[in-house]
Amino acid sequence: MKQTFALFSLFTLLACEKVLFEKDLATTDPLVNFEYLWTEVDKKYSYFQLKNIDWKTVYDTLKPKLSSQSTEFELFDVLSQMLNTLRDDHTNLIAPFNVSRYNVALRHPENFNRRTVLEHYIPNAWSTGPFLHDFLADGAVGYIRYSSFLNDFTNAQWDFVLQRYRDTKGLIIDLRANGGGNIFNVTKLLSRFTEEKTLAGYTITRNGPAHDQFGPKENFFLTPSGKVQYLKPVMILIDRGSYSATTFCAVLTLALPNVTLVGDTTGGGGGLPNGGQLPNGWRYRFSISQLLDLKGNNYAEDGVPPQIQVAFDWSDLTTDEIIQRALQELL
Amino acid sequence: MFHRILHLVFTASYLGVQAQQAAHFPPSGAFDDGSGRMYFSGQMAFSLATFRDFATSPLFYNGPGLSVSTNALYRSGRTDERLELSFGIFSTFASVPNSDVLQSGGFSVFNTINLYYHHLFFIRKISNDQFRIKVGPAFNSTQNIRVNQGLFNNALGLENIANLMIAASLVRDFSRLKDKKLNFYLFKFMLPARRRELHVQINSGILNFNYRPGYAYAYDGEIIGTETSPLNWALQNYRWNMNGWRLQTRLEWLWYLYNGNAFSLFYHWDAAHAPGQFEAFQMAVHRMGFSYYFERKIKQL
Repeated sequence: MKQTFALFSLFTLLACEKVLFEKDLATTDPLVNFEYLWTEVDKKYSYFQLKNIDWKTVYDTLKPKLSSQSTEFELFDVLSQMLNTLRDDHTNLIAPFNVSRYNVALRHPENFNRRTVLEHYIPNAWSTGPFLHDFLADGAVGYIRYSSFLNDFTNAQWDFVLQRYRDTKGLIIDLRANGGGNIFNVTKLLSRFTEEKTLAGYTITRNGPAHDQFGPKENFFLTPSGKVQYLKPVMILIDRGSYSATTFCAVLTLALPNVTLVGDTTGGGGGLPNGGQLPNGWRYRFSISQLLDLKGNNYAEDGVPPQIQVAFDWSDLTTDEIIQRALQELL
Repeated sequence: MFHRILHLVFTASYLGVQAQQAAHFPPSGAFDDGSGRMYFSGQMAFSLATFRDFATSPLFYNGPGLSVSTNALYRSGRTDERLELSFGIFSTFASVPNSDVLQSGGFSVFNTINLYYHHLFFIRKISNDQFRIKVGPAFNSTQNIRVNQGLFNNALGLENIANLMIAASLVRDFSRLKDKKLNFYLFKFMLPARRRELHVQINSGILNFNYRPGYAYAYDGEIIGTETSPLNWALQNYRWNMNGWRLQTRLEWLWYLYNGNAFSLFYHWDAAHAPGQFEAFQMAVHRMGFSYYFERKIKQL
């Protein structure tokens, strides 16, 4: 009987994992949450050096604004300030009552008016998957609007769209105000504008506690795919609203000789954002990698400049100057 | 009225089965050394999982789930061999502290696929007529697939925890060697002679491996255009590490039927700590359920 009792005692003790695991770290203490987020960013954020950010000074400046009695609103405000010093729209704090944003696009002029395009350029546009498209300039040019890389498309849909414009002189692909999305939609989109596997850029990811500690350069190749290749001139329209995956797309097109960027500098967002949770349950994300062009330059985070700079004139909403300039290049 | 009928039907069925078994099944006695028995079993369990991935959150995620498993067993007086494949799916919720404004949360679907094998050997020196102790090596590989949409690009959590373990099993014989009559006021029961066993097993990791993400958890790896495999891309910076610990306990109450099959109620506990190279992952799963053993073959030794 004693043996049986001892056995059950041992069993019960072992089956209580809370004894074996480290303590529960859940807490609403503002100072603990501040410390946690600051440390996570310090350990993993990828653009401290490029943006010349003194993260220790951010700590010293903002921590005194909090105490263990601070309210949740005060904590949110301080943590938002902390993340916004990174000047990065891939960096957000998500509380149940608010989301912090840096808002790159609002800090620059807007260069896209959807109504102008729909009313004066493609009033009878076809919708194929996420693409809105039609002929321009009496059928000489194809215009394709792709509003978000979040919207997936099939190879068949992309084949169909390109097949429709196979006899045109050139294509305009409008990626203005495209806030990004799935990176694999970028490779799928650009796979029709190259005939061979092409090295188009590199990425590097934080892999150590020092702010300049990164892993090896990882290649970013474009490969041809699909049934229809389009190797005539292609104008890709960009602006400050072209962010994240669209910035990736803009960098990669620099390796494609038949593709030209027209419009304004992209919004940036060249880093892959991660995701995490604070001890109080709020969530966050920030960039952990960098995108480099073929020469190893890193400007993508601050935006990829166009090869042809054109601005939208908001005094005349019947004309889209950026489309007009692209047409001029193609005709 | 309905409940009375149900009660009578149930009682009659139970007594019928007992009588039939009593008629056909004399107990084989404790620890039949003369044969080795092969079983195939299916198990179903209600489960409770807890995990914490320090790479993405300092919070524990807890929640209920369901586990199913299938086993191939060989048991004899000298050895005990088990091969088990199990699946578990859990709905887990973050243990978030209370908010004064709006409550935050976190939800993760937690799936586990587990492959387990052990081969235990009878230790005569520390066994006796009632206790039988077997010790031997065990191998356990658990693949977790976690999805937590709230973690953005870290939404997919994958880890493999593989352990070479030392396992010790103790079997206590509780066989009822003679029929037993129970005389209640309204009913008389006869409990037939039956072979019954209590199995207790403890496993402890000796070599503990884990396959965990790299420094930043997410990794911007090589992309080869449309030929990139998203899974390869996601796993590019994962590495095997040898560290941590794993403990398991199994408690099982078995009773054998007249036809050689067996039925059991069990409780399993499995806990692991996988520090990886950078940030730790911890998990524990409690399973409580039943299993049915089909006797496939008796091998005379």
